[in-house]
Amino acid sequence: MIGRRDILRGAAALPLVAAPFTRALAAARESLALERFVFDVRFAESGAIAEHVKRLGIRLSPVADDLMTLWYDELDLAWREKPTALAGVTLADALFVLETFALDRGMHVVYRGEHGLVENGRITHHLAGPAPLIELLSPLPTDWERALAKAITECPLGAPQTARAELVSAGRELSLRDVPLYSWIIAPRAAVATRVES
Amino acid sequence: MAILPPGVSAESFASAVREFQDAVGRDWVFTSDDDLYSYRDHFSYIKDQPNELIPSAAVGPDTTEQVQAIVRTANKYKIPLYAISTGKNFAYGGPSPNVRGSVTVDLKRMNRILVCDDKRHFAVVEPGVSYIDLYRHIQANKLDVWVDTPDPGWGSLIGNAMDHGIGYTMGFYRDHFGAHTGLEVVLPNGEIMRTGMGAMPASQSWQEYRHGYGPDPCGLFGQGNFGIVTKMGFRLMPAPEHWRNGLVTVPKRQDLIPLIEAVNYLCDLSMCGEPWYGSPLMPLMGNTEFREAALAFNESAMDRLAASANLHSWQVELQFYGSERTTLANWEYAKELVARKVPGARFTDGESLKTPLTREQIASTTGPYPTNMRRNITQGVPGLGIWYMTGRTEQNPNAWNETHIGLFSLVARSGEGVLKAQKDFADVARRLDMPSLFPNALQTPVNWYQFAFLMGNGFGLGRGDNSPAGKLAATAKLREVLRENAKLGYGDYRAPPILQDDVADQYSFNDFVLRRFTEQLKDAIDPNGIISPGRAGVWPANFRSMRGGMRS
Repeated sequence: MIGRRDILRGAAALPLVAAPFTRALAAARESLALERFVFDVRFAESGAIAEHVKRLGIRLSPVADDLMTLWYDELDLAWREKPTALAGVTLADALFVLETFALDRGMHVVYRGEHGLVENGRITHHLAGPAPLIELLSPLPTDWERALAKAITECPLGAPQTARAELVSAGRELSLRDVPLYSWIIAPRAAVATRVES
Repeated sequence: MAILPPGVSAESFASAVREFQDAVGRDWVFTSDDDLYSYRDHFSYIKDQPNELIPSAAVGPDTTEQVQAIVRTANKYKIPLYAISTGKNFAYGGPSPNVRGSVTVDLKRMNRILVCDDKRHFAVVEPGVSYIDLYRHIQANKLDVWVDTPDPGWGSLIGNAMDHGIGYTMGFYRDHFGAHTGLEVVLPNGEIMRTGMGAMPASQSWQEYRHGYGPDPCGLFGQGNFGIVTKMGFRLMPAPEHWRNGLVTVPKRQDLIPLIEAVNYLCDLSMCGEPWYGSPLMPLMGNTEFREAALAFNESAMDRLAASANLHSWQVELQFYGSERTTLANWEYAKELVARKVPGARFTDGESLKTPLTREQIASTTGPYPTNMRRNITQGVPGLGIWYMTGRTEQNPNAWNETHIGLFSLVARSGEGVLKAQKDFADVARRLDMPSLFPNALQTPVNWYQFAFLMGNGFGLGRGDNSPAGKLAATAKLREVLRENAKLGYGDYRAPPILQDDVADQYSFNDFVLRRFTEQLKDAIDPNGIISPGRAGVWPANFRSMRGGMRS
């Protein structure tokens, strides 16, 4: 069984400063490897982000209102072996459940974005996470779902400085949600040491 | 090290931490802010306030012997300990201790399922075993027993029982502390004690006769602070072959009285599982005339408007476990009994399914009638879906995610008792200017405990203002609710640490003799007051000045 402290010890061995590779190569090597992307099937925006993430070669896990199947059949078993990074776009309750489980297994939330309701055709986004990731999203383009999908697959390793940003983008006219969505990345503490709080 | 245990110097604390490390290994003693993040109550009404209930450190033992060593060190340095099992009791404070600066004893690593017997129908587990873990073990080993799970099912069997938690199958099993079969506990002096037949070294029947011989102290450990439970047995329900449900509705408000009489009779003969009461009139609360009648408790007007809408006033969902024939016989008898007592009662057959239900059957929302019962928990299948309550959804338009506290009061288990409690709670809400439609004349009890009714009456308080000041104001209001309820004879059964003194104050018979008795025991058994001081309002002598401290 992998313990919390095993994970903490592993963190010390990770390079915290970018190696002198080309930018592209460095990005590939320094980015957090996501094992899966969890998305709430009930909302257009989370579905759109998932489509972009899928094109980047990351496995999708659709969820709705009960995470038990995902937890029982997959994550619990996988995390008993070793912690693995995942990202997602869900409601707050799903994020809370996954974050709580993750904390028990040596992982934590390293990026969190709140995507508000569409108001007057615009969405306000409150983002917190590794500064390089937040920089990738500033400013948010009209096609913010694609930009977000790409950015969360490029989460830096190590102990990146944390940044916060409030950004505005265009909102989908057909968005029917009346509740904020949350994008997030959960990573082993050994891989990304900087946690963000809600 | 951000904070220290009360009255403990930095030097002493550092020495204690070293001894904790010697006991459990350096890897399992946590003192950094980052490590301690997971020991906060993220729903706390006092999060980030100077009095937030957070620990100074956490220690993660793997064995009972390590728990003993931790307790001995705590005694040596007079450091308060607060034991958690999985720390997920979030409606009631999560992992947060009663005393800021306590050392959390995190028992998650003690997660062994020691016995699970599907012929004698019990399990013995350590504190870190969750309902999900035991369910997985039962499934993997194809055992013919069910767990009776709370919702969500990620909590610990021992932790839930220790806080008098509940489940949703047959009556005996729903009372999780009541269904225990004996326990092993590390006492405040570090000794190990076993209760019931476990006190007999060669006993063959520890889990089958929990009383043993002589006084049975087990009750002191439920919601108590007399030791750290390291093993506990639980009765498990034999897996039934068949499950069936049915819906009963009755037309008039006063029909609730004979309906509850009938259902009590069925429950107490173990003929049905958890009954789930409700009112088909809830949709009428959107109708101004009906809402005004309901808020005024104008029963004749409510009956008239219900009849004109062709709706009945009350409903109860019943569920039956057994064989196909016995479940049918019990349902038929339930119909006969209610029809005899309540003219105009209607009955709708539910579903009749061979168990175990498939995942598709559990997830199904189709049926002969809209159901409020969550299928998984009635089938002993742990779930996580209840967390929808913490996010704003169509089902829960007023987000509770920042104000998650449950207050449930005991009311008399009768129709008269429920109708009276509705009025009493609504009066209190009105007097205290609570901004909610609840409590109201349609509120029904939950029958989690077979022999008791509980009714929620504090949920709506924090919906408006989630600022720190708003939360403090909401907390003060909850305290007023508890005081007013006590005057009317309604006591609460659980509370988060910030309200435990207030609930304990409700139990004041004969100048608080119960509390004085318990604290006399506490002082004798735990002279340094190291085990969870303040839990359930029981304060040891050296911490007694902290009583009520959360009110300031």
